[in-house]
Amino acid sequence: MSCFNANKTCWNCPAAVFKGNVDFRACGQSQDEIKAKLGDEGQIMIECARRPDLGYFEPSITFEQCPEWIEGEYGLQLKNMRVMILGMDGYLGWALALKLGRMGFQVSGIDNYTRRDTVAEKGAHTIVPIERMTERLHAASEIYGLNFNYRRMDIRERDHLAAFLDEVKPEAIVHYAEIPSAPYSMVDADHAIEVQDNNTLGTLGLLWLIKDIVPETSLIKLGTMGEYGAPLTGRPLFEGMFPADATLTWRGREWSLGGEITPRDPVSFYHVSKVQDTYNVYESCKYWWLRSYDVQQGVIYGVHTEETAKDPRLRTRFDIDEWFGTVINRFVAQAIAGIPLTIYGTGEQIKGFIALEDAMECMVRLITSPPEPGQYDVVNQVSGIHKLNEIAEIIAKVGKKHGLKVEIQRVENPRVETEVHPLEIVSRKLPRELGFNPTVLVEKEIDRVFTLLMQPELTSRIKEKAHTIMPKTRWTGEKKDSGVIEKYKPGEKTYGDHHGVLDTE
Amino acid sequence: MKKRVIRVGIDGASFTRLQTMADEGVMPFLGRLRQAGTLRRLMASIPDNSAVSWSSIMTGKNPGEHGIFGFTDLIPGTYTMRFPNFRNLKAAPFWRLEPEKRHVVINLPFSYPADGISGRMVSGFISPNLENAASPPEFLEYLKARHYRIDADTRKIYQSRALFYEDLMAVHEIRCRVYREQFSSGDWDTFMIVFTGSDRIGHYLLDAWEDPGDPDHERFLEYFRAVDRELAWIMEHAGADDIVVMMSDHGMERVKKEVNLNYLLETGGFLSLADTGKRGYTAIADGTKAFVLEPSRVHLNYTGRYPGGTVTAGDRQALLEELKALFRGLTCEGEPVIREMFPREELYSGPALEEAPDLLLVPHTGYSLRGTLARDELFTEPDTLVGMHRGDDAFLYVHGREHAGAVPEHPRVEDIQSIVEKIL
Repeated sequence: MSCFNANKTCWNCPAAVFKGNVDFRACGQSQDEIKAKLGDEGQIMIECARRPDLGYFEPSITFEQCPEWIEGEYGLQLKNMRVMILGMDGYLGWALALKLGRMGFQVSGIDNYTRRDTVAEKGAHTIVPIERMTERLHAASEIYGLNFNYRRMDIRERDHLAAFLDEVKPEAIVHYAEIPSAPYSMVDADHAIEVQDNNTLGTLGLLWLIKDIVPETSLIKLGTMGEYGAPLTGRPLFEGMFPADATLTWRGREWSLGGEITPRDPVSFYHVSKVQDTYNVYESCKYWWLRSYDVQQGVIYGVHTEETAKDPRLRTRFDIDEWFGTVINRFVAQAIAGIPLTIYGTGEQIKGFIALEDAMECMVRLITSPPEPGQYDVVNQVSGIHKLNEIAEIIAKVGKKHGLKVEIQRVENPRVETEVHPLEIVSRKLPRELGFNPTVLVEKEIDRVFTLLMQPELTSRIKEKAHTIMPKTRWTGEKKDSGVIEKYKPGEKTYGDHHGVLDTE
Repeated sequence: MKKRVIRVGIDGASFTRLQTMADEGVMPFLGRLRQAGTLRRLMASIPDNSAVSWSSIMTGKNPGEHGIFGFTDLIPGTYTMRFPNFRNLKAAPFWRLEPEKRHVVINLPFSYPADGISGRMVSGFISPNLENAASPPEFLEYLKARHYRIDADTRKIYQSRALFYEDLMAVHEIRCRVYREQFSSGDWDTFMIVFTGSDRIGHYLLDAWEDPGDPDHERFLEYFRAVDRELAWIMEHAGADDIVVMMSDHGMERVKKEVNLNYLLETGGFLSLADTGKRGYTAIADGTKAFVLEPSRVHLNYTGRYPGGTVTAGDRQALLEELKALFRGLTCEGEPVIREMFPREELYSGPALEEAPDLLLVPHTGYSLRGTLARDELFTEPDTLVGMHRGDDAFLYVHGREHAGAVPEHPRVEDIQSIVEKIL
């Protein structure tokens, strides 16, 4: 059976350079500024940057037919595909660089070490020690024979980034170079502005550079499920846009909503920056025929990938502080440090989750299945759906296997968010169109995190920074501890009977 | 003194229409000029397509030698449509035949990407960008400084004919400034300029030419008046010993109906398309015996040549007869549609013969033959494109009555180069 991307064509391939849109009835006038078809008369002309010997042709060769697309771990991949990772030093960026490098991609990347700096600003540190970038690069070379083309750079240094894009001519750009923290964006005006400056303006500048330098590249941009919020009506969270058969009915009249961007209801100034990105990317695809996947990623967790586990020098970072630690990672650290697992508010909040290893596989599949020119596409990158109090129970259970006695506590919610709500996430594209099947069960990954973090030197690193875990940043702008509402033992509490729905079919 | 050669092209200009315009005073200079040389009807290539005709004009060869049969062909071994360009030309154009001379070539269709010429060159349509259409690099900078554009923005026609015309004239004026400066530099041994607005205006405004009451009638005339002024300028600035040859690549006539030949093949059982949602050549399915490439090139679906080929060399003759019978029987409102049919051997000779279409069709007046796969009907009414090519009504003018003997009675596009050589 053909793999998931076998029938994609040159029109999806970033090596195809648009050359014109021709109406041959009138002596082939080439419309060099538009890529829209001229009714049924327009003929799109491309040139293959990798096979210029073919001349100009219509973009109809399938990946399966093209010798530049070769068998890979997940379907077909473009031979020596050039992928640039913005934010390569981060939790996701480093793990992805290693995975892509090992799979034969030509990896380049930038980072300005914002993540290292902001974690240090909090007085925290990564629990899993990570090397300086120079040592990381050396280790990747020594262990896997990889040579990453890496530059220290801020995404907002547009002149430098322009030169680097021009040098590398990436065929895909993975954009992780954003500050990924809701609480950090709520600290004060300076932090909120820095987040929106880095994230929104950084991305906007990037889009202009892509237009001018590498318009054929495929931009895989990290968004977040938090862009959608949690609608109290229980309306499904579609993948970015309404499906073709969605309608709006009002006062006896009906309209189609198919293809329109679904409502966004962000829950922090960080989430707002992601929503602004969404519109900026969407518009640039419309104006300039760029192509992009907006990856609405669920709450990420975990520590394991095959490559990062290969050598201590290749490990990716692991944060547990209130700003940058995601909920599962923080809970495991609390369990090890002997702090009750801290649930904000009722704990009935439902979230979509995905393990690091699964998220990396999704990214490879997105890279190897580029959208068409002008296509803005969205995937909900989620492999499981859980309530926070249930996650706490799972972690307590796995912690017990590791000999830990774990308690749970509910504290005043420092955030402004709906605490009891339905949630239905639609995540069909990755499993149905991109061949992704999650392989990492939540218990399995939590167990791997416990195993790693319970090494004595890592446990002591947790204890050293345990004071950074509890929330002090409130959405009101105040800095204060959250009072404890109740404390209880796992299994002794009955939770609400509403549950989330993950629609993958 | 060495003889210089001046070639002037007027793309899509009909012999018949030029005569009328000369007679009626729209092109008064041409009216006088034709007394000073030989003006003949010229046969375009078959198919009467600009890529094929200009390739023949610039090389002096037939398509079996230069290998260009249309604006499109298929990548060997696939059904993927390819857009051949100047790199695919298999015969030498005139400037390569005399590399020791200085050549200036302005706006010659189907010469993209520009050749590394001894002199200066800017290609005409189809040129996806100016950067690769100009040679040498200094000439590109020169063109950019003059805001040179290869073609008018024909998208404007879908908004307004007035806007389109305005843009067409703006492109024409810049082109005239450029060619006049280049001509006046004197730094050339051969000079070629092709006016291509004539083709555009023919495709989009030919109905206005036919109807004096049409609000765009005057615009149509004005364009040709402007061309006439350029012919006058050229002749005024040409030397007495210069050899001047003028030509078009095809004529132009009104479209009565568009004829979708692949639909005919499909309903006649010769072509089968898979239901892939994309109606292109890659949808050609098992059982297909023949298909048509734009505009009127019939290809047999040979085994070994195409991925789903079913036709062997032994089947060829019988299949061609079947197809001829099908096309011969094609009528529209009682009128026959196809005027002539030519197996490739009757038209072409040379090393590229095997790549040629198996059968070439020539329509009766007004039937625009189409190779599109995107239509589910045999005949389509014309839309914005009101003008179509006509193969037997191009023109050739050779200046100097003393050279009349060098011009055949019924010249063809591939004869032009040998006419020039004969005069030289």
